[in-house]
Amino acid sequence: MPDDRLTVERIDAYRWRVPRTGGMRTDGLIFADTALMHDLEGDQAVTQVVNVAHLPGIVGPSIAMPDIHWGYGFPIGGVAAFDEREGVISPGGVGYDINCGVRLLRTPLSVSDVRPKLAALMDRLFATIPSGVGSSRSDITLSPRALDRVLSHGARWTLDEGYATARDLECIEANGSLPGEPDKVSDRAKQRGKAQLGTVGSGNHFVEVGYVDEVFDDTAARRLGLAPGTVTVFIHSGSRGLGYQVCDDYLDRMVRAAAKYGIALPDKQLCCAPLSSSEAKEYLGAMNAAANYAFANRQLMSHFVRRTIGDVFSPAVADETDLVYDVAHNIAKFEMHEVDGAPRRVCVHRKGATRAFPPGHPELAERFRDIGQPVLIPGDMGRYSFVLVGTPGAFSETFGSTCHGAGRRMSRTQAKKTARSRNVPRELEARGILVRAASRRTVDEEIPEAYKDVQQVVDVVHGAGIGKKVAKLVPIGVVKG
Amino acid sequence: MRELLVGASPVIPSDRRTIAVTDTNAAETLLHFLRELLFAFESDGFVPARFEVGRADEQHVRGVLHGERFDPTRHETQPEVKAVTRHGLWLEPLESGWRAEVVFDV
Repeated sequence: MPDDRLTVERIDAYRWRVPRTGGMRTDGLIFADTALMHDLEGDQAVTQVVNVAHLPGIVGPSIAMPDIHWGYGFPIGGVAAFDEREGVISPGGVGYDINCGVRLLRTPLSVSDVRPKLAALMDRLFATIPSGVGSSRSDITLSPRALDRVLSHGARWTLDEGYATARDLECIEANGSLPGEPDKVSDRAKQRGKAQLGTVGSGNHFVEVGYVDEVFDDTAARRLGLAPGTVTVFIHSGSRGLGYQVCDDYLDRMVRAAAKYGIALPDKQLCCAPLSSSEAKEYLGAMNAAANYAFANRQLMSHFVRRTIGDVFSPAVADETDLVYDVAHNIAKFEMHEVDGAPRRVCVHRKGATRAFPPGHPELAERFRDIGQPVLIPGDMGRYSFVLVGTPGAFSETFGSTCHGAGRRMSRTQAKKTARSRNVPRELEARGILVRAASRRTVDEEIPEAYKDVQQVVDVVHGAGIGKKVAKLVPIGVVKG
Repeated sequence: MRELLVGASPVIPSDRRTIAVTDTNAAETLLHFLRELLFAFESDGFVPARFEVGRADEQHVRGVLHGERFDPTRHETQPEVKAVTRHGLWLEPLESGWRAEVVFDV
């Protein structure tokens, strides 16, 4: 078990309960199989699940997905819903990279079309989409007013500026636009974000070219255009320095707010404010603004991916490169859910967790209404990634949420040590995966074995019924920061 | 902090800027100070070489930061530092200075 002082009870093959004790207001509920639970040994993540269960107004259990690992305050892979009147909002429940998320594009190309030009494609993507620490774009300069429009409108701004199609917006969670309030974002945050729109960043962020290796659900895969052999492009990034700064700014405010409203915290990093307070409303406005920045960021990168595909293949191929979907996996949102048999408006925190709405949900665009919301689960750069769809099980049990990725099993320092004497890009190239990276250290820290096997993670959510497998994708080229 | 930003690459102290922070206690003052260094790097690519202390007590740090602009031909790119966190933040006075532990979100 992860912590000797904690009682963790097995419910079934995929579920574990941490019973309510002491100051906990609810149980903890962890989705994992025995092997993944074993991986949590020595990790503080389960303690963090317990800590979250202490927060006022929590509705339902404090939930952890199978890719759970230690995070700042809340665990990464955590889901918690709070009553709109009695509950709280916590920047630690969203994370530093607000609306860090993933999008998937599908091309009309097959893997045999791409292989002969793969090196050229990867070189052009690496040159066109700035990556690495502090990366910025010189070809997109945002005036302060333009940046405010990005923060207010998100991906809708990219449509107005000619970087998106109306179809793209239908394929983005919340249509790529939340009620952002630019005046709640500090000047310092705006300064950090002003030149970074359209850049991938560093760490675990990437642009990855791959192909559909296996299909599990023919109907959903056909609807999403994911026939076997189809070449795809994954983009994983978020709100860059702007989002990090918004989180920092509001953590400071929430430390004071928690004291002001007399909220007892088992860990200072869970600092929060009542949802009805001015501090919470201002954070929501700023968080939504940062989320809009992230939606616009991923859309802009898609524009440059299409342009690159047009240059390397043909403009017609670029025109037929469609967005499959775009999901946020670090966000807090007001949603309607059924709690104890009655509809209730709750603020769902998803930190390293993906929304997974079921077929028929009114928020989904018509094209997804009968299959459910696409869910994108990237793995590590050496193995595979998955496309799933949302399920009724997720909606009833996890506030419409599922996992978000593989989850680290090795610290960055451990990974770097493991990779020190190796040439990781060459190893991957020998396996047919070309890597282009701004920093060797990033590649070393992101070695495949630094992550859990995402198949294990996905099998748990599929088995537990909180996500349904559609397709498996295999990488052939990766741009890392 | 310099190592987190540019690894072992040498940094030439050819430029300077004044840093002054005030906060409620030693831990918050340290956090605030490190955030200033990160912001200088994020906003202007300013890499610190050394800090010349003018005043340093539990609630104030003031001095001159020497360093230079990030140069990708000489400085090794590192994974992005998102933030300086309060996680496990501690510091203790020593006879000649302070010892501290700070967790960065990378």
